[in-house]
Amino acid sequence: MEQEEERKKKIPRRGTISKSTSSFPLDLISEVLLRLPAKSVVRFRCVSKLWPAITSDPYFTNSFKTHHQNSNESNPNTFNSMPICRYQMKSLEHSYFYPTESVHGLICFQDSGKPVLWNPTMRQFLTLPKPEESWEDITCFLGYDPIQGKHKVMCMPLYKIGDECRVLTLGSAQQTWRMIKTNHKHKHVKLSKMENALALIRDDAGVWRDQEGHVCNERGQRLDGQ
Amino acid sequence: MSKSEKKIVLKSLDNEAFEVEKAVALQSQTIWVMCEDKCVGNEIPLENVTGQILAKVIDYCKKHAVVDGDGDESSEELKNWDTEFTKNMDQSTLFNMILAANYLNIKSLLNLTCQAVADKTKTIDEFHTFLNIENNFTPEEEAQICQENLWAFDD
Repeated sequence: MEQEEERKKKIPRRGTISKSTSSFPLDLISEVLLRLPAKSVVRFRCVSKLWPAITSDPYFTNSFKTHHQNSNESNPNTFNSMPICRYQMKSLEHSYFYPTESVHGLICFQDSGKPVLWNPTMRQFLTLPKPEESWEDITCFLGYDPIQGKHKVMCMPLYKIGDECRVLTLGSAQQTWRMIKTNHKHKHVKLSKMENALALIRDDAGVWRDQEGHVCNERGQRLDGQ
Repeated sequence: MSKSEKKIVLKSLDNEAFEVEKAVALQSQTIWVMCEDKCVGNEIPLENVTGQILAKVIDYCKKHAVVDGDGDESSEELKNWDTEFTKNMDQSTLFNMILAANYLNIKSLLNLTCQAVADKTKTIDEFHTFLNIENNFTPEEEAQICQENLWAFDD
């Protein structure tokens, strides 16, 4: 309690006289935060207890992405226009990292048979559990479901032809692998070239699509009702 | 159109009256809707904006209305004008300009003033001052959240 009092004394309370007494609405705080570089948004999470909640809200993160894509030109300091962002990563022991693209802000690679998700903007890593104990080598794909607004990771054994895979939806209540059986045999082939298989291809935004370009779920069922 | 129809009077919270061209005032969606609904006469009371702030809002609208009208002024020049406009505003004026732009629903002014705050506010203390709020974290909580996002604090 004493500490609390001490703290209050230290914080300058300028502006209490001259400033308008009306408080600043939350949506306007978001409007200001949207215009900051990503690094500052993270730093300002300590401004108030409310702010971590505002800045991790999916509505905010989506608006942030849209805003910084649109205003790239007028905002040379945003992360989108940084030519190279270099920072130290904790070394992962047996990581298998091949060049891959970002899917709606996340990048997926693997470490010792476990899929790892990397959020470069937040500099966070999330290692997922092994999809199946017996699977030594796996291949994993990251996709984004625009309808649920969630990322999904799909895993299957490397170089084996099969009719099952495991799917994990990020941000769901039980973050566990679900087994998905399909009517098709499939095999992972690089560059989206599928043999004897259900061709699910991810577009630039990481959305799964079938051969004819319709948005699909991981079972290959069309989601656009066609 | 008679002279009275082209002009409109905006009245601030502290009863200051501003006579402006209708085209200038209608950049505010809020005023536009009020006029459209014919729920007000030629005098519009704005209960959330002081005269000091309203004068600045009108300056902004005048500048932007002229440019939209003749198209002679380059967008480059307008951008420079916008930069100068917010450059010397103090935190308290900016705070009230954002509230006014939001209340009057002038998108471009809201964008400009929010961007100005984002550009000017560099430290956590500056945010506390700007919003007139106090840090409501305990020192332990603050240390923890800083620790979690350590990378964001190095320059």
